[in-house]
Amino acid sequence: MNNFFVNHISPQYLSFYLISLIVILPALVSVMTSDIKIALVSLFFTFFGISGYYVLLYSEFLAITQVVVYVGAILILLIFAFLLLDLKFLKGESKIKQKISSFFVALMFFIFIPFCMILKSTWSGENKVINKPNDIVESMGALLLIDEFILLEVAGALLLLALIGASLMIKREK
Amino acid sequence: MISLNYYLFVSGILATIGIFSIISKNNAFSILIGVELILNSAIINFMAFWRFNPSFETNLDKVSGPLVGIFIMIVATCELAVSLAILIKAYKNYRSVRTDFIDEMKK
Repeated sequence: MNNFFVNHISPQYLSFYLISLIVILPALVSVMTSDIKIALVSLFFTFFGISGYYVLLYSEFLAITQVVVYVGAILILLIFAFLLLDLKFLKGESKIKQKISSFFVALMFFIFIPFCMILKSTWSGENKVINKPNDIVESMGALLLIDEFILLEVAGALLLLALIGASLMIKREK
Repeated sequence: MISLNYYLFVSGILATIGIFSIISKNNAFSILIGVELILNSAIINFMAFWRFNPSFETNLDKVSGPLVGIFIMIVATCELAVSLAILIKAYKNYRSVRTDFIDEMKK
């Protein structure tokens, strides 16, 4: 037991717990509240905290991408669309029957995922000391631009299609 | 070193919160928020499994986690743009984004 505490009070563990607090608590707030303003603001902390996990997993590149894409683009897009709509039409609680049944479905997932899937499985690579690949960005650039360039083309085409589709959809009809 | 299970726990909890948000809320905004949470938990899962993969032999092995993460982010951005366009269009027609009001095809 004493060994457990000694192992778990290290900077890595403490930062992991702090990040988990920053991620999970606002996510719960954003689900529990019926005010979408509060939900969107608390989602900011969740997305920002998730980038901390990527730093702990030695991928600073994805951490920066997470901040740029999720906080800078997706959340701002959600807030902007929220501003375009009228606030009073968003209000309104769901039925109590729906709330109770969805709570039980979520509880089932909450029990099923940690205790039936994660703890029962044995992962082969666990607890091994891993050599850190310190040239992630370089390898990724070589992979995306030379070896597997079709992936990048498909992603670009998908983004262009989504852009054209979205702007066609909300075009004003005459 | 933090073991793999910690990350899987966190991503499982995030996915559960997202599922709860999708099935318990009645407005389309909260459903979109739930989808974003689920996609984020998927990225955490991919990154954790990439990190604890014992072999970093080929070039693809070295970057497979961040690569999948970036492609999930691209798909999430596309999905959000199109679904917000649908949402604004629905708001123009029904003056509401509540999913129990938008039931034209059920009639």
